[in-house]
Amino acid sequence: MKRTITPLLGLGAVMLAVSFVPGTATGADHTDSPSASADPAADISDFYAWHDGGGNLVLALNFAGLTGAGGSATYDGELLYGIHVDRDEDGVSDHDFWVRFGQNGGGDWGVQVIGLPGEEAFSGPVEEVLTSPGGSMVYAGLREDPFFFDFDGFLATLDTGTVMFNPMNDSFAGTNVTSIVIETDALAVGDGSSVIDIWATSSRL
Amino acid sequence: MSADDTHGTATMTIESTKMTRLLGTSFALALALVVTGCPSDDGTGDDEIGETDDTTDDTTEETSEDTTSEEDTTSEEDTTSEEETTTGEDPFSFADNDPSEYAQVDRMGMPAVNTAVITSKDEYNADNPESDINGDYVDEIIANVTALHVALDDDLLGFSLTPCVAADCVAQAGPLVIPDTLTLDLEAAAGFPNGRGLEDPVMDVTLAVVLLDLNVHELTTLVGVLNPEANDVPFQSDFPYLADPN
Repeated sequence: MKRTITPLLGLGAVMLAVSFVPGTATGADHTDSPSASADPAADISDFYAWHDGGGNLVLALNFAGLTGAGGSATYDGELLYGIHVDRDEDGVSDHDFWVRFGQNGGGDWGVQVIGLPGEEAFSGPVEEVLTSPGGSMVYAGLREDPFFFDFDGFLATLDTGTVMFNPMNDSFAGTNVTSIVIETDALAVGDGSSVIDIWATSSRL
Repeated sequence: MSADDTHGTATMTIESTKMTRLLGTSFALALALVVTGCPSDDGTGDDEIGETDDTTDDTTEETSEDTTSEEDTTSEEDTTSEEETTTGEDPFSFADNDPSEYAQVDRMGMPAVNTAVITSKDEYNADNPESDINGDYVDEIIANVTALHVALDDDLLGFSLTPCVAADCVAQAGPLVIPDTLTLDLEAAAGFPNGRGLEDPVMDVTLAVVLLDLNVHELTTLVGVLNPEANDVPFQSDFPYLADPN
């Protein structure tokens, strides 16, 4: 697909067509590396972490970006997704959430989360809101890509050295991601630390 | 300004040789702000693995006829998690390999850091925030931020925006992107860069930090100017918050 980019604030008259290939470009972490882009299930498109003011920490890890309308979620049993929590600002994880996908005999996919505070491994079917025995919530499945950004303009800016964003262009409108969303107790994750550093990883067997 | 200011509060001991190599001259102040971790305890790495091992052990012990790898198992007598899911008939089977057996492919904390200011992209993705704090990527971040300014400052001035000068840009952006994590202060109001919510205009805020003189402009100066201010569809008010797929 080709998209036309209009320069920021109408500066100049240059129009630039940017090659925009579904399946190879994804979210705020897009084109971050050749290896990641070649492996959509492992290619993290965006990572979100917020607290809701009510004691909950919400974590959302998205991958396999630019899945088209009507497309399918991407599950891979040989991948390990990690969400890591550093409580003392040394860059070393003090607590890990590990997420895997697996199938049953009937071929249905399930999701497993290890690391919900105080809980054993917890699992259940994908595409359903799951509530753990300890009250955390887990969802894994296809969602609308929540990222909004003129990615075409960003690439064009990097390519040309000219600011070429268009605030009317959300490059991710109409596309989907596969998402892992976890909502759990914020204080338990902090474990005495009110400031935490959080990041996500994907790893392959 | 940023949630990463909290990093600056910790007094740090810096490995002198490493820092001397990295510091050069003009970026000394900036790097003092950038490199704020305390390269001390490595014990947490062991804890981390121990944590996982415990989990694996626990679950493995509970399985009656354990097999060594999940490929060997069939749907009945299986590894780890089946007891959670099974309420009977057709349990899910998950790999139970130790995390150390996997090779890291990608990582992400802050939005677009790797895309915009990292040169050694694969190496960066396989690495971790401890290396960020150690200063392993400072040189290329400075080089890429500088290159962005060389390319874009004329345009910014043309829009009556005041670009930051190199050392100030690094001082502004460094604490935000090093280490490459989302910093979340649970006692402060939510909103990027205190964590990242679905509705936060993260790209325009990040671009302002990297490109603009924040003594002149606000963090939000570019919001809605460069990129859309909101998603194309509304988010859900309830879990899992992300909208239904297209």
